Formats: sequence, C-alpha cells, structure tokens
Amino acid sequence: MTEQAFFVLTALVGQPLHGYSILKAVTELSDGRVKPRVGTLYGVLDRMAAEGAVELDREEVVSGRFRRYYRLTDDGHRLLAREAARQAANARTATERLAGWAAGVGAEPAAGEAV
Amino acid sequence: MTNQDADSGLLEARYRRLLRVLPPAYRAVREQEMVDTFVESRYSEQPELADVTATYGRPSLAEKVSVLSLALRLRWGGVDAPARYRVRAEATRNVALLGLLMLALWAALMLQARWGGTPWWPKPEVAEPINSGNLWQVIAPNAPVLWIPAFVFVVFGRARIAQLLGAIAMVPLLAGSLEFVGLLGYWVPLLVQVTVIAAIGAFRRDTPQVVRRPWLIAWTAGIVALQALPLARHFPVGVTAALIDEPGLWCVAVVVAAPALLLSRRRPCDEADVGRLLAIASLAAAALLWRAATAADLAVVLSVEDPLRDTVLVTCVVQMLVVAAVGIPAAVVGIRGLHRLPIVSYSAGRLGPGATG
Repeated sequence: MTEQAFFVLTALVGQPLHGYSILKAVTELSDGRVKPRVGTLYGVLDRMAAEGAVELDREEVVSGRFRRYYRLTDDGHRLLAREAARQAANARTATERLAGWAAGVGAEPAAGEAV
Repeated sequence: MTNQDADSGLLEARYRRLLRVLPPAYRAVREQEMVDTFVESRYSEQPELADVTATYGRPSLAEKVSVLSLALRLRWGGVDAPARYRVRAEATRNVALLGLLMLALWAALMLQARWGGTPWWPKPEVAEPINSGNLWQVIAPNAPVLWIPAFVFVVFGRARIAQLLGAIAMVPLLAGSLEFVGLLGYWVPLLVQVTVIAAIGAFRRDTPQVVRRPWLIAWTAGIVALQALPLARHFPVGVTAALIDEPGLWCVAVVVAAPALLLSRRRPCDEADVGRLLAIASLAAAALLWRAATAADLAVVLSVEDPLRDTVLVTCVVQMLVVAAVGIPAAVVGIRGLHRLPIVSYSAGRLGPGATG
C-alpha cells in the first residue's frame, strides 16, 4: 500500500469525507509530508474502491460545489488495520536494531527514538 | 467574498481542459467532482486571493502530472483500474495473443512447407547456397518464423522482446507493400501485424501474468489442426486456394472460436467472457478485412476468362458472410457486456445515471 493510500484510508476512519476534505485530512495527518494532487487522489480512491476498501456514502451540492462523500468499508477497516500493524512491526524492528547499534558504539539515540 | 462565491470560471475552464486527457466515459462521471475538488483546494491555499486565483490560477505541473498519470492508468487498464478499463485492456491483450497465435501458426506451416515439405506444398528440390547476392531472398521468406518465438515470449511474460521480434518479422511484408503499392493483400496484413505489435504493448509489469496452459494448448491444437489441411485437396481447386491461405485460416479460426465462446459464456457475461468476446470480434474484423483485400486483389489479377476466378471469389464472399455471421454477434454481446461494467468501482451507492452507461 502506498503512503498516500494509507493516509486516505486513515482519513476516512470514522467519518465519510468528500474529495477536498480528504486532501486536507491527508495533509494534516501526515504533518504536511503527503500532499496528494487531485488526479492522484481519485486514482487512489479508484484503486481502493476496486479492492472493496472504499465505497460511496452520498452526494451533495454545497454552495454550488458538487461533492461525493466516501466511506471506509469493513474490508477497508481490516485492510488499514493490517497495514498499520505491518508498519508498526517494521518500525519496532528498526527501532530495536538502532537502539542496539547505539548501545554498541556508545552513540546517543536519535531524537524520538525508543530505547 | 467567500471561496465558494468567487468566480472560478477561468480556473475551472483551465482545469477542465486538463481533464480532457481522461477517457470520455470516466470524465462524464468524474469531471464535475474533480473540478470542484481542485478549485476548492486552490482557494484554500490563499483564501484572501481567491479572486486572483480564479482569474490567473492554473493547474500546477504536479497537478498536470497527476491527471496524466491517472489518464494513463485508466487507458492501460491495470489490475486495479475500474472494471470497464481493466476489461478493455484484457481484451487488447487477448487480441495480441490471438493475433500472435495465428501469425505463429502460419509461420510454422510455412516452415514445414519450406524445409520439411508437405503433401500440398512440396519441398524445394535444391536449396541454393546462401551468398551476399541472394541473402535478402533467403531471409525475407523466413523472417515470419520470428512470430513463433514472439508468441512464446509473450506467453512467458517477455512482451518487449516479442514486440522487437514482431517488428523484425514484419520487415519483409513492409518491403513487399512498398514494392507492390497497389496490392491490398500486402497492406492489410501489414496493418494487422502493426496492430498485433501495438496490442502487445498492453502487457506491462502491473498486468496479470498470462495463464500459459490454455495458450500452449491452443498452439498445440493449432499445429495438429494444420496437419488436416491436405483434406482441403478434396475441394475444387478454387475453393482450396481461398481456404488455405493466411486470411482463410484466420476465417476458419474465427468460425470455430466465436460460436464456442458465445455458447460457453456466462449469462450475464462476466469480465473474462467480455474480454474474450471482444478479442474474437477483433479477430473477425481483421479476418474480414484481410479476406476482402485478397478478394479484391484476385478480382483484379485473375482474368475474367480464368475458370478459377468465379470459384475463388464466391468462396471468399461465402467466407466473409460466415465470419460476419459469427463475428457480429460476438461483437454485440461483447460491447453490451463492456457497457454494463462500471466506469468507477464502487460497491455501494450510485454515481448517477452515467456511472455504468
């Protein structure tokens, strides 16, 4: 799963969102690191929909702007949970090895590093 | 003035222009949503400059790249593309495989006739030694043999090598077309071969691997079936001439495969059925065009007094009618099946009347 897809699914947890609100949520959730473009967003939504992870919630016209709201499916929740667990396990492995290396050479652990 | 109130005419128009690279059916479903998402995101960057953005704002390079990437992904129909585009790409890959299979089978038949001899085309008695003077005369008739490894390479996942081999195999035909400019019998097979080579482009790294077994069985069955060609000698000479030339064999393949696919399809057609039916309909179109071209050439080349002329031409017309009789239903069922597939893949909810139309 790409980082963009990961954050799109994360943004949809617990709340249906429309295109612009997904873009905004992804940027906020990733601390500004991930800023998907509109073309990219709809590519991700198509992919996630093809996998059954995302579905249409409703359509609205707000202040003259057409909005489609998307929500996470049960499969989408499971997919995201698996991916989050996989990333957490990867991070844990890397962190443990870095801690071991830091202890071996007497280096200071990097900022934010768990020891 | 709020973001939403801003006159976004020019900015919208520029973004709509960018979206023209998307397939029309996808654009019909997505365009308004994408435009409004884009405009909203642009206004949010600098709300106080909404008026300026509306008038002078343009899609950024990154935005253009993202839309172009989306367009390519949709048109190439990767595994995760919406169903309609995925199936269209699958049909294109089937066209490539079917076309390669037919070209490779014909090449195998020529190889057998040239080097092994056959009951209907005797082996040349004395092979001339190859020298610089007759090199082209030796290479040109044998170059189509490259269609055999091209077919094998595609089946085993090496599409780019297959394209290269196909391009080389096509050179003698191209040379013939330029030499005999007036003969459609050169130009149409050239068009067919160019189409097959282009269709191989639908095999990419992210597309599903070819399921080898059915294609290898089809190759074996084709080779075995070709050994039955001597039976054609029992027909009148003119009929045989039209039955066992290359477009004649394409016609036979269509007449065998199209009814089999039509009868064995699920109701309604699933994605695999649609992909196969569209491919066989394309093969039928190629066979029809090719047969019509050779018939037109023969009508010109054979003199009116030639006793074979009428038999050959009538056989060609009958072939075309039979191919059309099975090819058109395959095309109709395939196209209807394709249009039933969604442009965007949402498992719940509706995306409006254009979503599946």
